[in-house]
Amino acid sequence: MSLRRRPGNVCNLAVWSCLLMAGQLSWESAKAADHGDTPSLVGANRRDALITDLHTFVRNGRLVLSVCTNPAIPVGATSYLFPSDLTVKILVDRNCPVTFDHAGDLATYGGTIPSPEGIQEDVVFQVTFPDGVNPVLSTQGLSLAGQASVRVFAGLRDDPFIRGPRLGRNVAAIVIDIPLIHVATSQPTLVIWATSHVPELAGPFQELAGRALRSMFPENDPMNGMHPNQHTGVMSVPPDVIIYNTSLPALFPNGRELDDDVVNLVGDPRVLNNDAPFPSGNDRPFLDVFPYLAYAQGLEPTPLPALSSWGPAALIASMLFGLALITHRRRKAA
Amino acid sequence: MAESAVAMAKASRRHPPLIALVCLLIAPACLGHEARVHSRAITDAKIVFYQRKLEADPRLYPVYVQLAAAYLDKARETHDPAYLPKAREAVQESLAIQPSLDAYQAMSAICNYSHRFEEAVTWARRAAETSPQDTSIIAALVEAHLGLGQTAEAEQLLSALPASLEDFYSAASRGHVLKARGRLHEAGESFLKAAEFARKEKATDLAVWAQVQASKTLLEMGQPERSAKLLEGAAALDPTSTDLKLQQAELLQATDKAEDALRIYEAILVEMSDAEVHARAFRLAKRLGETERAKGHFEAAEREYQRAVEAGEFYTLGALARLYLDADLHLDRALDLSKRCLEYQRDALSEQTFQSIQRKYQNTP
Repeated sequence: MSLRRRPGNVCNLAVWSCLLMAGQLSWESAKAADHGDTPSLVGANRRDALITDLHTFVRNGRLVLSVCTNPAIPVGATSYLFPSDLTVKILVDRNCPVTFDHAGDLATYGGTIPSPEGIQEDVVFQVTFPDGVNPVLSTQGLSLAGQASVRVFAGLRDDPFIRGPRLGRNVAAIVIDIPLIHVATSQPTLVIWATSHVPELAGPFQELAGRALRSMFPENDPMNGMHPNQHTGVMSVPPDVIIYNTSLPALFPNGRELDDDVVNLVGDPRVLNNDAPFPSGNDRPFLDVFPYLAYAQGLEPTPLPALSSWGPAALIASMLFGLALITHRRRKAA
Repeated sequence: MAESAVAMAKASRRHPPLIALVCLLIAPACLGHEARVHSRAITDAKIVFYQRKLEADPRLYPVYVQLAAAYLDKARETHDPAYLPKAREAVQESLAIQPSLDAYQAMSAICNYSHRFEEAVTWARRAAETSPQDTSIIAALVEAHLGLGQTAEAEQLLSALPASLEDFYSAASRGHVLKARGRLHEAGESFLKAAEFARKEKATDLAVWAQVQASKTLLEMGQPERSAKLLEGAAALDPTSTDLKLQQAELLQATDKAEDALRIYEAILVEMSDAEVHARAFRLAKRLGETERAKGHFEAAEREYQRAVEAGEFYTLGALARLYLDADLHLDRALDLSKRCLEYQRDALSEQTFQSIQRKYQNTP
């Protein structure tokens, strides 16, 4: 959404508040401060549809696709409801020709797509939330065996983005995994991207996530409403997708591992200079098991009793009780 | 245009996504009056659309916020205070389902608009906790603090902002804080910086607004020629801007062209009714000795201010008190209004209004 102002209320003395109405203006893109990278969604009060990160890697022979959304979940939230009108898709082109002989492209994008206009999704994972909690997955382009072996997780997780301002923050995560053999059927290299869509907003989707730290910058904002096969034709830039040669370990920009510190790896000063305290790892440990993302801030993984105001009191009371019991028995024995 | 809005609203029953798509795609290309009518039609269509979406799924918490934003637009466009409680209720519904930054920010904007500055501080703080680097939230906080006369708090917020976050919001906010401190020259510079940021983002209306603020500051500094020059620059960007026209009238008034200024106010009022413009027109007409014109404007302003007061809103208390003060009417009521206003708004203007009325009241036999 472009910056705009509706007719102001002169009557109201705080006229400038008209400029500051939620959703009126979006400068986040210019700042690229966090993940608020799509002005149209911020302007429409739909930060819930913002995609913050796309990770893709292989674990135990399974291709993991993780999409995180909503950078604006209040601190302290311990549950999350996905809006029922939100559609998130992860799309995979498994036949796209990719070359690896251009050193610059290899270092920046993970490879070169010689014919970007030919990018086409062969496999689609579509996730919706009719009841707000339970993800409903529908797929295209998978064999029956493939469909049967997909796992889906959706819920509140610690933000895996390794970035100063995101320490201690949660996101709404969707993680899918599937045996790699059901996706990489014709070649080891996959071209992957994700989109989010709110029905009444213009365009087939409003947010696109490909390689980290691309479409979040203002000069690349048009990418968010465009299929990757149009990026080069319209914007004269390589398409915003993740190139993942699955025959090699995932390491940005070849796929994206959870512990890839993309802020450092990309080195864009707009993000790097604003990364204090400059973390090089995530603030919570990633899991060894599906869905791999760290537990949400405020949600402890083990059922340790919370240190509530009753905790210490109960501990002291039980110690006193024990002491009294021992004393009583000794006296009785004496 | 209004009919087309009704048609869109009807169509939305059949094709909800389509209608909203149309709403969002229609570029606000029209100018002046037509643009305002167009904008109102879009707001109406949005309200109908969001209401229907919520009927279909009452747990769609982001849509309540969208509905609230549309209600606030409606309140701004029509000056009908009845939309403000609707906006607040819609945000509360959203928060009851799931707290969100969008809801916090919308609530702070609604509270700032309706001069519930203490509440605005609470909501904007929650928003700032969620998104600490969002300068639009800092600006909302600054505005609320200034409304409460807490200039030091507002200053502190801006001084804590890193230089890398300097943008339209921070520059505009800084302009207001400097103005509140009486540092008019620096305030003007800050507004000009805000105008520059807006121009770079191709936000013409914001650039005009900021430039008009800079012009206003120069006029307050007693520099009408430099003020006029800035207005010329703003007119080159958008000659139909209401902000611009109002400042042109202020400038004419300051340069002893009261009749011309009054004409501008009345031209604005042909396009839209606005209590503050009526109040300004009343003061000018009174000064020109145009008793009947003054009476008409006074009554219109009083009616609109009163409507908000009767609806339980506070944001016109001070303005209505000032109207009575300038009209030498109902001083006891003016005193009561300005006293009540100070419960919610404690900026310099509200304090001055109260003191002036009190002085006049005490001197009245």
